Amino acid sequence: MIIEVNGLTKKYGDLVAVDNFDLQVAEGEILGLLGPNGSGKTTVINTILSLLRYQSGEIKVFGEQLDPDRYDLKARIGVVPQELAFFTNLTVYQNIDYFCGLYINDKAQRRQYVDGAIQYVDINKYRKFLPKQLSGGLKRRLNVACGIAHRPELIFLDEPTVAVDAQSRQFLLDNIKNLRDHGSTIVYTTHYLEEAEYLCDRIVIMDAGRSIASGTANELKHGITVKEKVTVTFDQDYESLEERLNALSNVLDVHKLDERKYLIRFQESNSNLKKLLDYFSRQGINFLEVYNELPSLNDVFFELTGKELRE
Amino acid sequence: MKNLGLNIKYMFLETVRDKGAIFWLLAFPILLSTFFFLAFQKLDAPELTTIKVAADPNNPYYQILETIEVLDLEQMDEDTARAELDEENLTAYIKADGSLLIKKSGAQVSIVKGIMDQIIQMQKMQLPPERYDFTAVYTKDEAVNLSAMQYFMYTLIGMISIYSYFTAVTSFSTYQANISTLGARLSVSPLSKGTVVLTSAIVSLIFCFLSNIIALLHIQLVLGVELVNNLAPTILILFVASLFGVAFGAIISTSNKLQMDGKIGLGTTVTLTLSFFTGMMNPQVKHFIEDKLPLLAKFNPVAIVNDALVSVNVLADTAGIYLPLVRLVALSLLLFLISMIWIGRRSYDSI
Amino acid sequence: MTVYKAFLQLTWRKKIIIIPIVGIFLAISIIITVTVQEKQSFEDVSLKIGLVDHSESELSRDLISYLESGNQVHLIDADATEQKRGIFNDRYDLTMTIYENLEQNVLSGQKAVGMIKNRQSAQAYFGEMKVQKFLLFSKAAYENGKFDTARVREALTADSEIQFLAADQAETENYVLVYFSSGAYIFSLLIFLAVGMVMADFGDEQLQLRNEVSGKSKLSFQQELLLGQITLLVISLLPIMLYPLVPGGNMTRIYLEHLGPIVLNVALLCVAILSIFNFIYSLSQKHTTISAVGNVLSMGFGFISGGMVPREFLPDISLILARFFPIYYYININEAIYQPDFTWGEILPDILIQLGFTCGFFALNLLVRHLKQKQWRAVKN
Repeated sequence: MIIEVNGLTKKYGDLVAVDNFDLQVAEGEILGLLGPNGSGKTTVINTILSLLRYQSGEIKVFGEQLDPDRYDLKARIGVVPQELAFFTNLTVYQNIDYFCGLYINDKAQRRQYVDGAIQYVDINKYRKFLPKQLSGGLKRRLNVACGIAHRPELIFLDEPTVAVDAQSRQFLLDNIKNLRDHGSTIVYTTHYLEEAEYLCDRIVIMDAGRSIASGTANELKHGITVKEKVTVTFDQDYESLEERLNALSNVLDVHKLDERKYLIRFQESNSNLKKLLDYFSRQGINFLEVYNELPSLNDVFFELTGKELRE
Repeated sequence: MKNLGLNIKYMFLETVRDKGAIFWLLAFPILLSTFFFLAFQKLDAPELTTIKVAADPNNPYYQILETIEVLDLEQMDEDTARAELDEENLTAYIKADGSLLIKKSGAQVSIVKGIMDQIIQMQKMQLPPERYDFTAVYTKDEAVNLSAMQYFMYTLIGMISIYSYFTAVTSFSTYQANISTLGARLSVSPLSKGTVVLTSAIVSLIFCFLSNIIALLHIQLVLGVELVNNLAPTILILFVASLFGVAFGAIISTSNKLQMDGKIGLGTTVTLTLSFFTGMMNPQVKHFIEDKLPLLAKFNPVAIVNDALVSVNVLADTAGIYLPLVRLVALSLLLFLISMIWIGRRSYDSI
Repeated sequence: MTVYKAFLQLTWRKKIIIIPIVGIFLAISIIITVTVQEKQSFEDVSLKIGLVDHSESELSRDLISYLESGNQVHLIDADATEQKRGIFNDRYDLTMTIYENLEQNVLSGQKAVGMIKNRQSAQAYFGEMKVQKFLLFSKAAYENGKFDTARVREALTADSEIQFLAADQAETENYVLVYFSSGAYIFSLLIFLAVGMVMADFGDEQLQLRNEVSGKSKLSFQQELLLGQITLLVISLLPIMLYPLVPGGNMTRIYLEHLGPIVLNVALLCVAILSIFNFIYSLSQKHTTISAVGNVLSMGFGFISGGMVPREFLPDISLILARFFPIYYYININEAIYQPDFTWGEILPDILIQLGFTCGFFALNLLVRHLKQKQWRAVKN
């Protein structure tokens, strides 16, 4: 294991930010920490990085304890913080060169790595720009480049796509996958379900400082009661429709979304849509629109916590 | 000390491109010394030549007064004298009974009064005039040419050298995880304490020293106030002063959990207080502190810098500056050491 | 009142740094007044004399005792360099070294006392005159192998009478005036430091963004902010305003007699400087810049407006420049308040100018904010 966290508890005064938290990150995987804002994701990362003191628990990185002065271990790690963190008066190139220089002594090698990082996040045109001359998306790319230029074995990416335009986001996500493919182990925090699902080999769902579930996206989804969701918009009001739908086999529950729009959730994923359409036909019920979905991570989160992950 | 050169290069670039730092480096000393120059231009009292007094020619003291060199005696009746006194063309009018008519008190009036007192007192001595040896001069004078402008400018340089703590606070705080995200990012890198302290100290020292030199050049060459008579020791003093400024900035940066605004506020208040204790607003305060709190006076860096500059450039006493400067260097090193212990590379309760 | 409450909460959070700053500023104000009192509490010119007595004879003791009446004589053991330093630092007006063989030298008409003085100073001349007279008298009264010190002492008590041109023109000491004159700098810097510190958190981009989308109008936001700043100022200045009530005696009496105009004057200065602060803040939210500008403006204008140096010592150019900052008008009012013939009409122009500063910079502040928001919206769209 590259990272092992056991029973971590971190309090801010009386507030428990991280509560008896466990985490294992294997070599070469992208581990997603998924949770709403304030669920303790960044606190977990900062504690692992020994920026924060904690009350109890055990943390090992590369099999050893990462104390503030373990420069040898720190040299193998790259960090991309959630907020932009670079020098405002140094150019794009100088910033990346500086951060890379904290890890790489050899000038020629450094130049090669810095150029590589610049290509990697595609900001070659802006090498001589000051950060204030860059758009929000480009600043994010610079932020990432500063954290990965030295080609670390372990990378922490703390919500790197917050406030990033769609194009830059996809670009960043693809490149993060690339990093994994080149051998890095990645810890990725996000509150975006799609990102976690798209990117992460394994996901740990966090809420109120606790780990409430973990596994691959599919494992998580399979682990919950809801297996399929069907949304139907009817042409008119039908008498006691909600009760009738609820009485159908496999139906977990029915939610009225709109005046004539219903969400039907099924326990088993077993030709539910076909059976439903047959039922409508038999009962003379006409609909304007119908579609089915498989459960999302949001459903997982909702089932585990009783609240939506989406804001 | 991995990549110390690279750290210094980029920290220097980051600082030199920062408008706030440039303000402290250039504008602050230039503006403040110009303000001081404007304020203290007339503070040096004019050299005493003669004192304008008047008396009626029939005044019994008239003839004696005529013989006194320092008095510029005019014949005048009392009514005219009243008008002239009111216009401040006269210092005093001497009446026939030996009393003085004045508009306001002051050193010149005291001199005139002293002369009249002496005449009256000699009468009271009841000794024959030949007993007085008017040819004997009992005092041996040594006059020094001193100006209040110089005094305040040396104090200002002392203050500017400590005010340069600002660059150091910014520089040291860059590396602290609880101040900024950049600090947090640098804290998780393999950057060692030693590199952090050395980088910050060297970059800040260059800036502080430049700031002092600029202030000195501006005062001496642009404002035309003669401050430097002995260049080499003056440069040494400014260097040590800058070193202390940096050490002070380091301790302000690392000793507390305040955010940058709090650190700057704290530094400004301490610098202001130390400058105030050196007599920047009122020289009497310096003596008050020297008498009542001698230890504070001895270790007050603004006072040490001020005294050293005066010793070297006004009193031509170079030997006397080394002990206070050694004291200041020792104090600076102590502050660096404490900063080194406190700075970053540690875990926080919260960031 | 959300903004007002948020401002007060931030103030409370910053109390650990604001309270010591106020404390130190109060101490500085008090020390200035104390030292000024020491300096001005003599009617005649009082000399500060540093004296080294190598003779320690009866004559030297008599000379010292004569000099001590009306002057501050400090018996010291310092070499010429240290004596010069004392003169340069304004510790002494002049220094004297009484030679070992004082009595013999006086009798033989030789040099008996060495003096170091600033050649420019009338005070030093006065001191020299006193020594010369004392020794002249002493030698004249030497009889039967000894100095007739009793005769000399008796003679020296006689003095000439002084009449002032107008009875009420005798200089009255006014510590309250000095306290509040030097206070100008303190008040100004305190505003920049204390208010600046709380405002640093208002510069937070997120907060500004939220303000941007909230329904609160720019004007009402600014009004509530101003109210918060004034509340902070009143609390911070209270100790400095209350101190003159503590010593009792003349200071308290004069303070209470002129309380209305004094409080109004301080209030006018503070809101004017607050307005300037807010204008600067609208241009730059960097606390380092605000602090630097605050230092230069407060200290610079404090000096050239006559807050620390009496105006008669200031060149015309200083006083012309000083008119560009509120401290000048504050000093104008402060100097007028204690005059026996003081009328409100006489300070009305100064009051109006202070209000002009306040309104003018408030308008400029709004203008800059308006332009910046327009620019911000343009960027976002």
